[in-house]
Amino acid sequence: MSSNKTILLVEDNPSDADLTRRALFKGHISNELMVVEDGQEALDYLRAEGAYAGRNISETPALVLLDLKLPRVPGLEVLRHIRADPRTRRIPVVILTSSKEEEDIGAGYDLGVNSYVRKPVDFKEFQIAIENLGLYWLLLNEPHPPVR
Amino acid sequence: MVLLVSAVLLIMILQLLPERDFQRARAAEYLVEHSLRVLRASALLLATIEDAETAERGYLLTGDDRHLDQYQAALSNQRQASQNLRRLTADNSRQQARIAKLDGLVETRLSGLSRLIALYRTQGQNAALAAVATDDDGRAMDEIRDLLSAMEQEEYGLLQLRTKAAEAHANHMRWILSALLIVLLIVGGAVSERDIRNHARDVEAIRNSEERFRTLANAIPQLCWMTNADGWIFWYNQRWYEFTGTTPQEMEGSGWTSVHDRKALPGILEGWKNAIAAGQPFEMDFPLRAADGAFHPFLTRVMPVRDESGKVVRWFGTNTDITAQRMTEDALRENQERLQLAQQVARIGTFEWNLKTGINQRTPELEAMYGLPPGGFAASQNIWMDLICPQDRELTKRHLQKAMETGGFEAEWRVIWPDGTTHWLSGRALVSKDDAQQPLRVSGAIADVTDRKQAELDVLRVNAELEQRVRQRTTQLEAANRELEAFAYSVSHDLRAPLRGIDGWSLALLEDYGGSLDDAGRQYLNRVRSETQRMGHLIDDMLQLSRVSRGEMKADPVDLASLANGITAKLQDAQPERSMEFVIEPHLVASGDGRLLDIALTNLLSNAVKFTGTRNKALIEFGRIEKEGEMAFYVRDNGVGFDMAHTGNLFGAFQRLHKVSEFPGSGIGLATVQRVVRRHGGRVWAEAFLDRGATFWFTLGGRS
Repeated sequence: MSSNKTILLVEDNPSDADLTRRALFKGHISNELMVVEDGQEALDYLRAEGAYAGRNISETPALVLLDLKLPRVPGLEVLRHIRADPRTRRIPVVILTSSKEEEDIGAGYDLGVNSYVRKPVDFKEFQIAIENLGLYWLLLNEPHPPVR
Repeated sequence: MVLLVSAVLLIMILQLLPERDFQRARAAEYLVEHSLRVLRASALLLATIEDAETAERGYLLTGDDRHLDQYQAALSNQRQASQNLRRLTADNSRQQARIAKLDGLVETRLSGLSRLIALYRTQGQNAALAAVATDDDGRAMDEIRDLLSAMEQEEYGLLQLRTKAAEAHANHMRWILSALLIVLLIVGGAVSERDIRNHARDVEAIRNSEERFRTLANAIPQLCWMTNADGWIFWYNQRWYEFTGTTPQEMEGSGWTSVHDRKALPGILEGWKNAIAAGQPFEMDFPLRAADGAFHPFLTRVMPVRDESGKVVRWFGTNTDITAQRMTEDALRENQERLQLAQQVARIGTFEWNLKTGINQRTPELEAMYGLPPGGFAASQNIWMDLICPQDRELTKRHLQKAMETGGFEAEWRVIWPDGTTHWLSGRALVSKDDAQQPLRVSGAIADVTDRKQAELDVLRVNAELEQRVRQRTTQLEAANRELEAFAYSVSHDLRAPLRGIDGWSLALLEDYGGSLDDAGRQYLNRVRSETQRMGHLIDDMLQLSRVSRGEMKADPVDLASLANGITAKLQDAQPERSMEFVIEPHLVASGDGRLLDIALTNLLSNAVKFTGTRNKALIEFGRIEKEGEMAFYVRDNGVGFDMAHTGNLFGAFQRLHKVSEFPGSGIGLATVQRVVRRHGGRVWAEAFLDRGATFWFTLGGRS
């Protein structure tokens, strides 16, 4: 079951992070939300390294919500590492960003992103998007088998 | 010579003839001669009497005293003739008797004539003429004639006898002379009659030729003259006298010096003296004075005339007036000087290369262009080619070869002067051909174009620098563009995030604490949200405008009708409550960038939907029509339209014709449309009336 699995949110803007948290809450998605504020921290978490050394690496997040514009390691670079690492490659990753640039969208899909969602300014639209994401990825979608 | 020898021989032989034969022959000849004289004297006597008679009649008819003088002269002649006849016939008694009788008759006749003259003088013409009519002295005249006739008959008789005698003697002499001649011919050779005839003919020919020469010499325009071997002038032609205005008397001796320039004379005399001494032709230019006193330039030529032995026997001189020639020469020289000056000024050198003789005539200017001193080309046959810059030699040769076929060339080449400097020359040449179409001559003009070439090189260099600068600027511009893109990216990302926060937390406030606020408070929060969202759209539109200006352009076939159908479907979906009819002409294929055209069409159709919002039923058309020679697309609506007076900057960014409260919008849509259309090489314009709809036209730069 993925309902009790963690959602990893990679977002450097606390306001956005809290709005995302609110949207998930409003959408009745009760999974634990893990927020990291930059790309390197995201990778450390996923690899159970650095500050997250000792974390059980086999407990992969049910979904990664990835912003593109991030301090230290940019979002697309994070995605590349996730897809390059056998331990993390099957984790669903959704890019959640302000950018509507074609280059970014194309590059995201090329690197194997599962979805690309643009954050609307209208919070109601944003909430609908988050609810739909949660519904799809956490409930409808059949999760990947654990990596051995 | 032969003639002379023969004559001498003949005389010597004649001296050997018997004296008697000569005397007889001479006597016979004398008698014949005598008879002839008597006959002549007789005829003369009759003539004098007739003269007297004629003079007297003339006087009687005219009264002119001159006839009396003739009459007296006739009388005097008659007396002489009478005495002569008497003397000649003194040896003949019969003739003497006749003369005695003749004298009486003549006396009678002459006295009759004298009487009539006296009568004329005393009694007038009529009386004298009346007396003539009854004159019986006429009979005396007849008797005189008869008597003289008888005397002549007598003498003719004698003449016949004497002639026969003389002929006999002559025959005798002829035989002797014939014999002698035969001997002479045998001994002396050829004294042929033909020689004599030839000699006579020669003399005649010389005389004719001399005549012809003088006629000719007087006809020619030159002055001419002849001198003897010593230079003594003995003849001038008529032209000499006419030109100098002198007379033959003035020209006698050294009179010719009087028509010469005193200053030039010593030189002339010396030259002339030397020519005579050497027996060589003399030629000199000096002036001669014309009849009006003005000196004219003359070319004088004197040729020696030699005899068979080569000795100078005469000099034949001519003076030719060279005034006109001098003027022509002066004019020619002036022209040449002018041409040379022109060439110097224009810095043009010319050449004329005779291909048959190989002689190439070049002007000093041309020599200077090759850095050579005057005459410098003579140094070596190929110097002109050697001085051409090695890189240009082959090309120059090819130009020259081609010119032989085509008839000319125009080329530029470099020469390296002996001092090592390089100069650019530009030349044009023409090749003349002979009748057989073989190249005969190459003539051309060459100019030093170093300055122009330098200027051209400067222009090239400046252009290269300019291009380099343009490349630099382009690079800078591209960098700036990339910066702009990065900026746009930041705007897109960073400006939207806080807006989302404002909107999100305003909504959170409404949702969580809406109950604590009254209606006005909730309304304010809704205002915050709507303004925030408008700001979000504004940023989106700005980013779109930025995007359509950047990036690669594609040129694919795009069906605009299909694009329009997709867009209108979305627009209808967004406002399902509205009644809208879209009339879209099918199959509007144009070449362009599908993504950009979609943005443009979306803007235009969105506008149409927006500005028909107040209509019960919106009618929106999209089609294509040929307008002013090109295919134009149009989006027409039945909306509120606008006043054309305010459309000056309709397509500028942030330009709005309506209040935001009526029709919301960023004012960037049409600017975006214009960017897209312009990037396709087309143009966009609008036609509208207030409250009567609007039509937006656009073309795609012939790509349709």
